[in-house]
Amino acid sequence: MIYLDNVTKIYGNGAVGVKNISLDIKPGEFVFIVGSSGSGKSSLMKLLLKEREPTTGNIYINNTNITVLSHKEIPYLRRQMGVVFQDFRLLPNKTVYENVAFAMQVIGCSPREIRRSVPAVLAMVGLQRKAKAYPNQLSGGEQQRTALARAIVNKPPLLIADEPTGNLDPDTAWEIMEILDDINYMGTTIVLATHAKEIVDYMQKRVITIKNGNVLRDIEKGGYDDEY
Amino acid sequence: MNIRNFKHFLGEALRSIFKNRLMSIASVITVASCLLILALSYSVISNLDHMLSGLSNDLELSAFLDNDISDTEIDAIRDEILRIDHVVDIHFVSHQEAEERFQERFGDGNILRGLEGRNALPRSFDIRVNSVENQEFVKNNLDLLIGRGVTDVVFVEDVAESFVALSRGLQIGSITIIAFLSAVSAIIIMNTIKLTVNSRKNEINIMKYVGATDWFIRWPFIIEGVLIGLFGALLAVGVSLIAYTRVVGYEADIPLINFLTDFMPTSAIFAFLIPFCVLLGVAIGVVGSTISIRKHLFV
Repeated sequence: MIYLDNVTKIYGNGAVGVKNISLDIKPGEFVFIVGSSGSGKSSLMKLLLKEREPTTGNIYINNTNITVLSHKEIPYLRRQMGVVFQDFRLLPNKTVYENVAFAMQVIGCSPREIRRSVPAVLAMVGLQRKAKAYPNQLSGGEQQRTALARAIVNKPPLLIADEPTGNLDPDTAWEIMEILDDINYMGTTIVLATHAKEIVDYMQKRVITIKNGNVLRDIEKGGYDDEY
Repeated sequence: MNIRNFKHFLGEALRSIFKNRLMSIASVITVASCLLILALSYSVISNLDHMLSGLSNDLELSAFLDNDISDTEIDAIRDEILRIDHVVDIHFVSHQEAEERFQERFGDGNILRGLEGRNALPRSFDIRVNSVENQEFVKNNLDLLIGRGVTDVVFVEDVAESFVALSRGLQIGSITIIAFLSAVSAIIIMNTIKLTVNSRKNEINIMKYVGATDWFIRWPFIIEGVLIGLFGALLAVGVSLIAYTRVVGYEADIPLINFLTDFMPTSAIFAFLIPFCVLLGVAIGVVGSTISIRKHLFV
């Protein structure tokens, strides 16, 4: 699903984002990317989203070398991935339904497809009764569930989540993780950057630890190693 | 772009114009001012050209005669003029005919009231030449008669040259003004659309992450720019149409204007001006909006 071949990202000011990273993430995997602030997690996420270009190395997603994609091809790459952020990034002037439908609208889905898919995905994240609510009428957890619904409504094979539980209390964070686990169970590959030790320890998934831009540890099933 | 998307884009554009209505109105007025100057310049230049083409069809020289010379001397001057190469016709204008012409041109007899019978207007010869190129030659020969019964030679080409120079000056001046005002209008539209872009930065960002193409993001802003440009163009065309119709309407009432120019019909002027103003307004809108959205597309 994702293959990083000796990827390095050095910013204009000389700061190292990631350094000589090589990774192979198989379809259907659930991978935690962990590490302290400034370790390179966000740089890695931005590289996967093609928000930043690697200084050297190649990144393959679904067997496509995304480092050589032109600006025009980026939207089609992003349609293969859903994205969830710590700050939800919902549109305040749109309802829950409209926020989710928006993701389908911008890629040209018909109103019929939208009417069919949005209620189903809202039901999946438990928000069918909040369809007409605006983001400011929702709790943090509900907002993140809306963002999740938006990320998966187009059925992407890959979901990238950058600190999705960072703004949530522990109980709500668990609800989100359960939904993510369900999404993964249905076949979507998930790459999730987090600081949440308890969640990583409990879920026992693949964990990649990054420090100073390098991969320090990559274990098949495990927890958050405090050493790093 | 399909109809479904177009409806979405148009709705977004109209919403945004309404939301930033003060800035949108300012942009419409700026575009309208720019296009109004264009319409004004075009009307003046077209009418000058129209006058010039009228003049070149009727190029004549006039040799004005000394009031004190006798009929015999006049006949001698006539013979001498007819001997000049390229002169094809000559017509003597008496005091009386000169006054009649004056009355005819200026309509109102008040100007000459009290001067009747005093031969206030000089006698002259109207001289026609076989072609425009030879007017200069004939004029030079007629100048030799000045002081020998001829007081002055009026060469219509002088007037024509002045008109040509004036027309060229106006063309250069108006092109400069139009280019400058077009740039100003585009910048104002850019700023108006930047307000929309800034208020929708979040939305654009999300659109980029969920896989919207640049054109999907760009269209509502371009339509917004086009609508502002179009409203500005229609306002300019409306105002200039009313103004031009009124000026042409005054023609019949003011004999001096009637003499100076025969105005081009409104339809002839606006058959060009309407599509041109609309196209330029739309182009200004497209340029302004495209530039303002550009940097936000690189996410």
